[in-house]
Amino acid sequence: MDTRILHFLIALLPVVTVSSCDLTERMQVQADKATIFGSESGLKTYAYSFYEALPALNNAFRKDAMVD
Amino acid sequence: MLIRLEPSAEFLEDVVVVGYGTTRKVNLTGAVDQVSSERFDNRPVANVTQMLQGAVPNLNISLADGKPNRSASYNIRGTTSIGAGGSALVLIDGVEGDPAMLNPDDIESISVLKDAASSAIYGSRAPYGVVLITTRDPSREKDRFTVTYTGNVSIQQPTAIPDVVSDGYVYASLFYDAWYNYRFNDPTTFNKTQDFSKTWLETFRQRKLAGNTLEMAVEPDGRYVYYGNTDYYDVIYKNTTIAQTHNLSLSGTSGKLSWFFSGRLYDYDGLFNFDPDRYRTMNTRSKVTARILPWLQLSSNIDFTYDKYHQPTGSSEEGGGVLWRSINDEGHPSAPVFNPDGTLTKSGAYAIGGLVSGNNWMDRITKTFKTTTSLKATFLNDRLRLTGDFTYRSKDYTETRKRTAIPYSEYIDEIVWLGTPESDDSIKESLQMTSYIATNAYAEYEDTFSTRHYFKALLGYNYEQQDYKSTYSERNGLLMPDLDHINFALGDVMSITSGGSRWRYAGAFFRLNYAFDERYLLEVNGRYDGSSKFPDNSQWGFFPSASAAWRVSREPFWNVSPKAVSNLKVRVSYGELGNSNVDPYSYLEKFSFSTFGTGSGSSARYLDGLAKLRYIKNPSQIPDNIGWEKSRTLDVGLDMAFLDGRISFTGDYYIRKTLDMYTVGPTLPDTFGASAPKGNYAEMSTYGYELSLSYDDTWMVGRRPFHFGVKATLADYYSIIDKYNNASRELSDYYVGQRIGEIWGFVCNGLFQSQEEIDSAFDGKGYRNEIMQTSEKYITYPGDMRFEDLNGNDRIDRGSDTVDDPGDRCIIGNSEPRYIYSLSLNADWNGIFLSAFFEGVGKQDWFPSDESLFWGMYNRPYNQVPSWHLGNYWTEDNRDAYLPRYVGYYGPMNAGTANVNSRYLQNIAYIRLKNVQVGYNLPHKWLKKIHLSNVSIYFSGENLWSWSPLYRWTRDFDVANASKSSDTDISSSRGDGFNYPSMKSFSIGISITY
Repeated sequence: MDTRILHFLIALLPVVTVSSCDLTERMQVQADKATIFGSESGLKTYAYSFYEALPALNNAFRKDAMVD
Repeated sequence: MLIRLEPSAEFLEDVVVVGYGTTRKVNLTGAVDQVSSERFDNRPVANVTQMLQGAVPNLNISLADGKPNRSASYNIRGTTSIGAGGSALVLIDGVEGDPAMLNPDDIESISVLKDAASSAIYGSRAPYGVVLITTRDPSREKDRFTVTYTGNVSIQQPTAIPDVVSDGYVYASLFYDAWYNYRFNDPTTFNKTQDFSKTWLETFRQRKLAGNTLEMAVEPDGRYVYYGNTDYYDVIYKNTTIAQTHNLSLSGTSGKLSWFFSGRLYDYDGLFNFDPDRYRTMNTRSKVTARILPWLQLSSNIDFTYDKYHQPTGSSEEGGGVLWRSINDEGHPSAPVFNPDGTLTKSGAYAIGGLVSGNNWMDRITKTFKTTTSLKATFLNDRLRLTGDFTYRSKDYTETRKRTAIPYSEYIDEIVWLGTPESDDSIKESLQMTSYIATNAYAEYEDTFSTRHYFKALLGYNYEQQDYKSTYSERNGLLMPDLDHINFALGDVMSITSGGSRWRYAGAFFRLNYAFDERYLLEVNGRYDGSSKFPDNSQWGFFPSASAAWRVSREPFWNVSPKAVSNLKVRVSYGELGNSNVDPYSYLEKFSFSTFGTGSGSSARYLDGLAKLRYIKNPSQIPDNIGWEKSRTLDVGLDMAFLDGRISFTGDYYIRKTLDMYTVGPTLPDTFGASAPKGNYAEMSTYGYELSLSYDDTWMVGRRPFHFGVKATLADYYSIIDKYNNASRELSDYYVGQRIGEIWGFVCNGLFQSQEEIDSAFDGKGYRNEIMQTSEKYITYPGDMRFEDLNGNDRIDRGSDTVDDPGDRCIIGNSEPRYIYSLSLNADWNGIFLSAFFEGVGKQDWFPSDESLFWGMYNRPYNQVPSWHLGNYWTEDNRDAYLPRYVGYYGPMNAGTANVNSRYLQNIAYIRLKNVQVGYNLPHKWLKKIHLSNVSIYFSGENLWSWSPLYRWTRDFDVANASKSSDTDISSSRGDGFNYPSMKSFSIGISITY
């Protein structure tokens, strides 16, 4: 084999090796289970979402049709 | 005597850019189309995307509006996926890039890879085709040095400006009619900004009769009363605006070095009279190739773009900042814009106060930088070529949006505010940074054995990685409205959030070509591809494809003279590609952040005494076994050339199946407690074709060659849903058998002419329509629309909103464009050149959304009145009118898409003269004396003419803008057509080459 080809391939080697085959990436700005259940403030922030189930200012005065 | 080569056999030698290489056009086996730089020459247009519109059959570019910086994602061959979506991959010099940030003068050619076989080398990056843009290559010019300057100045104006009633009295009396005919009582105000009473209307009438044109009076308490005649569009738009482009390029070779440098400036003065929307973009490129060894070549390609657009916005109180909607709702012709002391009126403030104040705007600055270094080695007499390249690209985007309170006066010497000064004066800054690296390494070997067996093999590797980071900050309490930085905002309502993502791709690919005697051509492609966007267990996929072609005209039995039929080739290709055109983390379980609202809205919560609290919501369910969406394309093509290649024809038919689309799962029992998880559930088929026919010839006229060319193209597609989880076939969702774009609506065959007709409708049982409010109490009057009772249940209804029980609805049209065509003509003789480019759509339906200007007062009685409504609505003396009796809040027009109907379905097919050019190349004998090699001067016109069946009713919109949603940069749900107008331009330019 032409040695020039070999030299060229060696020159290309860094190009190929900058990358690895494990392509797993973690989320950066969304939380996963560990973020939420791993700290007190994480859980607190999650618990805030339960307040969504409660009525808001604009409908708290309305009656629930299912209740007598 | 000038001797020119005949173009006859030229087409055979045409070289086409394909994935990771080039090929001769005759050897193509896939569906590939290429346009040369001629498509971009002398066009007074801001960016490449706008120039490419209509240029290639089935490369579909739908621009959201006519903004100078407008670009769009590229679609090839129609609907891609109803799950993850996806558009074409755009590569600039082999690396992903943004065509809107590219200097159009740098382009040498654009290739469009349409079928699976030709895109397969890009694997999961290109399930829906590839657009390959190649910039100029300096190394081809031998020992030459050229300097080229091209420049043009254009005068631009909107292709259409709404023609609305500006006579205040006519407007006000129509308002009264529209209001009264609906509610049967008297209005007291025009929406929020002007008072109304019948006495005022009568005074207005008297003043008009008396010829009193004073637009206002002042009441004893100092309050202004208006009798205006205002055309708000006239107030905001300049008659014409100016844009200019200057481009300078240097290129050449000397010995082992070749170079290309270019710089471009595009500057647009803005359309608005107040706080004009200035746009400026600048590009530079430097491309250097050095042959460092006889067999080794090193090149560098660096480009930088700066792009800034300043856009004034409407008031956020009316129309969410969409200026055109603000005008429609509050720009009452009966109110002037300004009071005599120069302050704004209330209507003026609501409608266009954002512009006039100069302190309500959005600035967007994009900076892109891209550098590619590549190494190319050739061995064995150019039979083996090795290439390696590395690219770094960064994109910085900053967006600043300022909102401030708008001052106006209702009483003499008293300023009030729309919004609250300081506390409502806010600044929002968004910073988005993207950095991207890509590297490719590939080897190509080609050889011919025994003179007839041609063989080519390509083997390569590709890696890409992108990091994205953004921060968004917003704060109120700007100290003074003129300040532009968030540092001056000191209020207590603030928010800081951020975004970020990272994705990586790796792929190994190959391509094998074999040709026997240039007669039988075979190509096999494959790519093993990995993407970080998929879960661990399905990150990798293999995507193969194959294509073959038979050049019948090369067969020994083919005895037809090439003078008659010079080429006949049949192509077929089939391949499967994965779709990784999805957002990162799409398939992960995400707990995402939200912010509680303030005030009294339904999302408002105050917890722990704090406002605007951030909280984390529970994720939606994700199934375990998510896989790739796939697209499979079968393509059959035919290439023909006649009369020594003077006439050529290319046609392709394709079927694309999109499989395993990521959509909603089968309905689960309520005990599951959540909505059904999404998964790879849906399937869709797209059928389409492209045809292109061209004729090129040269003959002698007055002892000089006259060259003439014409090219016509036609493309079409439609998609059908084959599989989708919607067991009850609800119309609110996709369903099996659905054709994408279909419009369900009621059938209306006319207007009721009398009360008897209403009473005797439905076989004498009387007309019953309890679902459309044609008057406040649902009573039908003569002049109202008569809907057909399709299901014969003696009333107009929506059934159970399913395909099988649609009530009185049926499919009345389709919103997808069909039969997309283009026609280009060019001719040159004795240095004079002429060209024209037409494009259009053969069939497309549009039912205007409720807020569209199309409806005028039928939507809201205080809306602007399109002039074409006058004399075109039903009265007892005008029974054949197109529009019904004059009513506001008219159900069939005001209720969104719920009451879509056949009577007012619009045909928005069109033909447009996209570009026309006339120019002159100065004779060489003149130029020789001043050492120039080429000088041409030209006139170029863009969007000069269009026609559409829609124009029979109204020319208030350009047909391309009418059906588009409102300004997508501000708020896209404010009504069809409330967006920046399309512009036409008249331009004069010069091109000088040294």
